Amino acid sequence: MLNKSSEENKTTNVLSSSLEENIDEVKNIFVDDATIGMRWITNCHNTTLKYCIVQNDGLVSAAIINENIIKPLMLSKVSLNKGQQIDILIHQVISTNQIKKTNQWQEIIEAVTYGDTILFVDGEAEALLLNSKGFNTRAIAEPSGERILSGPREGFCEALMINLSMVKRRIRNNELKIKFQSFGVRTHTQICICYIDSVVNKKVLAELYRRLETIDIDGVLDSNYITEFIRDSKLSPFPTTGYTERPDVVVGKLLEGRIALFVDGSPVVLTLPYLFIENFQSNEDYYLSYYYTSFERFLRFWGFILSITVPAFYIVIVAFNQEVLPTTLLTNIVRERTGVPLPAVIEAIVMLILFDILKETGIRLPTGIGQALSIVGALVVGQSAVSAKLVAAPMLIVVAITAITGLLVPKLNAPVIYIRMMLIAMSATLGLLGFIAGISIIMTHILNLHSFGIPQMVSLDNLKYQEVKDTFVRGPWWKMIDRPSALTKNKTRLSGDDRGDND
Amino acid sequence: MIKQGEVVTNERGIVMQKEMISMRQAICMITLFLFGNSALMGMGSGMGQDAWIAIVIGAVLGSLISLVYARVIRLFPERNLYDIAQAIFGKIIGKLIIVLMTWYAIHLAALVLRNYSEFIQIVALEETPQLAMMIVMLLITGYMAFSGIEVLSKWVVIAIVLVFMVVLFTVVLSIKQVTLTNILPVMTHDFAAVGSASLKLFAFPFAETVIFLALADSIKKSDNPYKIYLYGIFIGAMILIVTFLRNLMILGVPTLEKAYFPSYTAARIINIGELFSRIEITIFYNLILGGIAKISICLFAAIKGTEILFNIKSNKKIVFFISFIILLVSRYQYNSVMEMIKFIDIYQVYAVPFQIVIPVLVWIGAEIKTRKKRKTT
Repeated sequence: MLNKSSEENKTTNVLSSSLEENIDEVKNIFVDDATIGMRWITNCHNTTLKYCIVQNDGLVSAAIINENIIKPLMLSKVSLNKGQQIDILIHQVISTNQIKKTNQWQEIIEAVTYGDTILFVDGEAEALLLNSKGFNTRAIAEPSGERILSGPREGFCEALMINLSMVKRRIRNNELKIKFQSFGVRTHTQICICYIDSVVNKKVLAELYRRLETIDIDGVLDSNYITEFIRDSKLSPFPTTGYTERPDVVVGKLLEGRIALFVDGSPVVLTLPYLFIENFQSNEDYYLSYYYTSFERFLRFWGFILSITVPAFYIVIVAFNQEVLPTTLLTNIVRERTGVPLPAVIEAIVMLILFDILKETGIRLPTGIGQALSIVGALVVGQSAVSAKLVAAPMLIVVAITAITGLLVPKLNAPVIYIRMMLIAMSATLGLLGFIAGISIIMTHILNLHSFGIPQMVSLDNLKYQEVKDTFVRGPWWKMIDRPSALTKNKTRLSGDDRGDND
Repeated sequence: MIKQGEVVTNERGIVMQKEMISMRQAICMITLFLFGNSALMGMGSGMGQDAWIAIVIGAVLGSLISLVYARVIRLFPERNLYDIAQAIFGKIIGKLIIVLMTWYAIHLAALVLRNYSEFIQIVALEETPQLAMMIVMLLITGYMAFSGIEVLSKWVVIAIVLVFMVVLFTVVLSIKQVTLTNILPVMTHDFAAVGSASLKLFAFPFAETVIFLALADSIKKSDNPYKIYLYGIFIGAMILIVTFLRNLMILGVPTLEKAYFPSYTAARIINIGELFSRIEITIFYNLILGGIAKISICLFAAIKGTEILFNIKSNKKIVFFISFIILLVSRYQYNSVMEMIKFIDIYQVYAVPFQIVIPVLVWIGAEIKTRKKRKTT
């Protein structure tokens, strides 16, 4: 009988006026959850006023509850009549900074599970949600995946409001719009959509809202869960949303007209839409001299290309078109390769997989063993394999170049693995034709990529300076007059033309 | 068919409008289209050192007929040839024209494909059956056709940059091997011979740009089709002349006549300081890029024709089907590579209805129709 009425209550979602019934209901809802604690309070001047607060041990701050909730309720001299207490309590008695009244059980459950305290008042059919959050979060530190030489070192942590505060501090403007939504049927994770109103592309925003509505999942633990639901080209290994753990990066992208998506519980923030060139851009490009960083961009771009093509190209040259090499080099390579049992393809694949294994174990192991393992990998495996004539020495160099250049562009680490293997397979079967065919297919695929309706590769049509100033070179700041035109219609970033004449 | 300005969400969840290509992309497409096959097959046609004059005359004739093509585009902006033919001639004759032009696109793609697979087999992969190479190339062009014309045009722009760089590279590197006097004596052949050679060059490659009429619905109304065609043919002809002259000056007339693939043979001779020797793989790379572009464009035209003919929406099955037809035609049209080289004599007559007759008919019909429309409005 009690179950049925609690079911009814839950489905009708409404509190009753009796304090005892409400608390019974709370005990029913949180049955077997021993951390939900209740505290009965009576006002010392008028003992007919009864209250009960429900708190979630570990998520609440005891100081706030003691000082701002229990003490005012106990000591308040304000005269209250049964049935009309709620508003007076809100305005004159309780001294927390955020109060919300509700009569929905669902809201109460969500509030309790995040650290709010619930106040039930005898005789009222509404409860008050009081802000008393006091859980611990990780300290703000530099994210280990995005280290830079010079510049801000703050990184996001797992609490949504702290992350938002880092971004809001940097954009002191009322045009920064922040909207909340929640996802995850079981976890009700809060996500936050952030954009600058005057610069953002409204069509992309509308498309984003449309796609977010299609998300249907158990729980959202990380922003990658959301990415995989809302991205374009779901079957492509290339990223179509950006991710970052740094607030300065997020603010930079917001200023260019992008939208940022924060997920509670994850320090990784998504930025969309995403252009292909962003794979090669890093925030420290803007904090260091533009000569240095233009060269770095160049290196990253070529690193990506080398990482994909070097093993396949080596196989093409060694197995099919030996005439390309100068004669002395050719005789050296032939000498190295005599006595090696495996054909070049198998060597390449085995060595690449071996290197990936070493890299993966190096990430997961504690630091002490990691060092020893890299020495084992380099000296023992590499050197011994060559001495045992299992692998030819030039192949080691090829694999080393491939592996090291592959680390230059971390955002593309997923596609690089597959593209590399595909190119090796095609070059091994069809020689140069296979190589060219593979490269054409990759180019077509990259040109096909879209991000929220915007093509990721802008056509080479607009080869004016303002379009390419931030792609393969990094133009100086006094020349960054326009925002990327693919992202937004509000183009002008700086007013005035060339502001570099300070001599 | 998506109209301009209409916004659709296609099966990949992409919000798109009808895909348009810009003028620069269109010019690059025409240039790479012209470069693709001709640099491979060589443009000698028995003229020896006078072939460059034949190329020039062929280009001029090509420009003349392209004025007709551009005029048709001008009269019916943002519509392709199949639409226009149906609009002018009604259902039956219109459908007949569509069938003929689609067949021409298929046949052209098959010709180019066979050229390339012969080339690859003779030069690189001697023991691989040609069917395998054809299938690989058709897979690439099929993927490109499935991706849409905007992706194709962006790809062509990137490819043409690479092609230009390689041509420049080989021209610069060949300075040591060049014998400038190979171009003399000029005009040892009489005008009739040069004239007939230039007619051959007109049919292959310059007038093949009729295929672009089938893609004309992606060219914006505001772009000038005359400029597109003339710039494209001019730049394409320049590249072909430069390539030919480079080959001539490296190889000399007798070798040039005998070689099946003169660009390739010429690149083998280039030798700078023992480091840059036998760099013909770069030429190979160039030619394959040109071939992929040309076959893709023809495939596109054929697919569009089939879609309009049978009133179907674009999907993977048409691409597969048309590619398969191209594969069959390609495999069975010649018995040997010698037949392939001799075919140009037949081709210059066989292509006349497609390259001249049908476009001129459509042009005359278009002029009459627009004049009537202007009189009634």
